Amino acid sequence: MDSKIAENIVIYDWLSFTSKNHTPDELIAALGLSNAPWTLTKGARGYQDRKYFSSISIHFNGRPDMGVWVEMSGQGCRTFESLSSVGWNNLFKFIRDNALKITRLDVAYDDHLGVLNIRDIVCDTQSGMFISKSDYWETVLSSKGSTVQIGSPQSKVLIRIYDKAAERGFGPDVHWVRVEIQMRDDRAVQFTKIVLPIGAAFAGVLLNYLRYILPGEDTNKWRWPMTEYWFSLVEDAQRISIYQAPGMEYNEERCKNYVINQAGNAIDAMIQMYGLDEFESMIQNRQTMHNSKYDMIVKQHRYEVLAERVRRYFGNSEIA
Amino acid sequence: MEEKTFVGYGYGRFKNDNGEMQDYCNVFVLEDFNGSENGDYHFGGQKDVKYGCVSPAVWKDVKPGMRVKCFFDSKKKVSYMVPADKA
Repeated sequence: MDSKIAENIVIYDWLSFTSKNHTPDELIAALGLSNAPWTLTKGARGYQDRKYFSSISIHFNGRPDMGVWVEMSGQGCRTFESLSSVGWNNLFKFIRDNALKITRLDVAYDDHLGVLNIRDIVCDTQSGMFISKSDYWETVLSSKGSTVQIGSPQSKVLIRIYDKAAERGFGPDVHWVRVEIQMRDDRAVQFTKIVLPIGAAFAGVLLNYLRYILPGEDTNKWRWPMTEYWFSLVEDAQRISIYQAPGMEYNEERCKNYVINQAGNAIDAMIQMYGLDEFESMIQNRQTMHNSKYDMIVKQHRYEVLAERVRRYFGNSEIA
Repeated sequence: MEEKTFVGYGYGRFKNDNGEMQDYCNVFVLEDFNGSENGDYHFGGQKDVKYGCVSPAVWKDVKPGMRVKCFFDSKKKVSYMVPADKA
């Protein structure tokens, strides 16, 4: 991955799956890489042999119950994108149609533009200013930069946020923070079923599993407002460009309560007098000054809807 | 997948320390420096790098001077090379 990338991206960064019904060559054909110069080398993790090409490994000749194991690292994913005409959607369809087992799928968001500050995230994590489906978290500070991990290594969904620039040895002039969602087994398969672009799907899973938050009054912490940087991350991952940093105290419930219970009678009277279309037109052309706190409510609501759409695939199961 | 500039190749045979003739095959590319400059590490432009290569067939579709994408085998030898605009 090039450090000089001038935009933030969401990418598949690891795919590993197994099949008990296909030969290595059939799986290579499914990847659309039959013409690549695969070399035969030593297998790993109980497999005797392996076909290898540019960070893609096809392990085979293990015990009869082990089948064939396809492993694509981040670089392997880039090889697949560069040389295969199959594409991710068709590959995932092949995996699902053949009921193959995805053992690991990583999706990563690369921030090159300064949306996230790793020091803030480390600080907020250590202060407990986040809500997550996992009660396991850790922060690691090392000479290779800082890392935040939410979810244990055994979790089916694990989120890792780290300073990729420091890990790669770049100086302070390079900003590169990576947010990585690592999914296993049924969580990985469910991700491939989400009928949304990769960025929106990534944002949806993130909203369901981890949010950095500001203190609120609601008894349910999942309804506490998100920090500005987490909003920006979710927004950027979805490629939504409009954003204004608003105040965080006003929320959807308060807005609804005010409109329905306090102004409800007046609004009802206006609609009866002018009709819904005319009333909407009057609202759109109102003279009152724009207030960004309402943008925040609309955005938070929109993200709740997105989170709900993804929740249908992921359910409400807790992660370890 | 990082792009590089393919600038040349060299292959043939040489007599090794055991007195046996041994094949060799290399490609030469220009690529970016790694990391950032600091007080002890300075650079500018690009560096020329030699990579081992599995066979002369690897550069059959590219010519010196072209931007290419290189793909490696498990021994870190270039096993496939394509013009960057076709990858």
